[in-house]
Amino acid sequence: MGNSNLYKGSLTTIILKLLEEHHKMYGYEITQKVKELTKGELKITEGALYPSLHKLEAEGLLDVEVTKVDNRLRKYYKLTEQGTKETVNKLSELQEYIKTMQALVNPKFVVK
Amino acid sequence: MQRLSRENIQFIDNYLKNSDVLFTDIRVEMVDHVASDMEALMNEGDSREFYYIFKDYMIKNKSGLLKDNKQYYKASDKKILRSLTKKVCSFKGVTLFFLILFIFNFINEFSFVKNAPIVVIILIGILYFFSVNKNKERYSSVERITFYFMIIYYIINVFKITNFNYETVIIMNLTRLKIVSALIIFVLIMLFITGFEFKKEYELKYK
Repeated sequence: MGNSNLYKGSLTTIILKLLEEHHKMYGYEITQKVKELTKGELKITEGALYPSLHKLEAEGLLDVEVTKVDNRLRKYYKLTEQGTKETVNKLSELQEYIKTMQALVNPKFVVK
Repeated sequence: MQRLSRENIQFIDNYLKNSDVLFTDIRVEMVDHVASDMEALMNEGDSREFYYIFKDYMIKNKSGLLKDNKQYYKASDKKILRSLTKKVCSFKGVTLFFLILFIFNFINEFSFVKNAPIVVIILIGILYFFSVNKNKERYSSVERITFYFMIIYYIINVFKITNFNYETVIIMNLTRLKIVSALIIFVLIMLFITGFEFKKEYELKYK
């Protein structure tokens, strides 16, 4: 990955967006999905992913469901009602940010 | 699709437990992550024995994996404060506070009102310690609550030990002392209930 610092601030938005699309996901699945969607460009480390998931859960944006799968317990995350609303806000914030950055780095190309 | 056996999973669990990942709610997720990653390696063609794959995996990923274990308290604090605020502001919470205040209204002994919080914190602390340690599983937010008990305990003691004590702060006013003591006892009870509810919730999820 080019520069992981550039992605850091967007991690929660990425997680929320994925959960909005996939109903429920577990940690490892999220890392693999991101890797797949970005063709390996973005690799979320477990050291960054799990604290973010726990923070979102503590804020009431995610709900947890624990299921027994393949001889072990698996923790699934899904959006709460509040989480669904927050996803919309976070996504529009991110889009605004992308637009602003675009205007800064490439003023000739203005995204409408 | 190759899957790890129950023994392999138990091995990973024990390894993480011995690496100070003491809380079940944190460890369960790490075990699943390590196991999923190892199974992916096996399915991609790594035909070595479990132990060798595990050893190499841990050499490469252990520090990143254990990073979360050191950060659990940040999420726990948020979870505790969110739940506590909800309870304190609820109808039941407000009623309980006024009930404690109402009971104090009948007590006019200064030293009793002054010492009540310390007696309550010791009783609640002992009760909490035994109820939390009843089974061998440990949960992050349940144990984090003991930190809040400690903070309150030290606050009470600082007031008692230094000259900046209750009497000075409230200028010998019994009514004010009753409000302060009632508030401390109220928060202690709310913390105890929060911890107990967390414990029940965890036990239900991670049974």
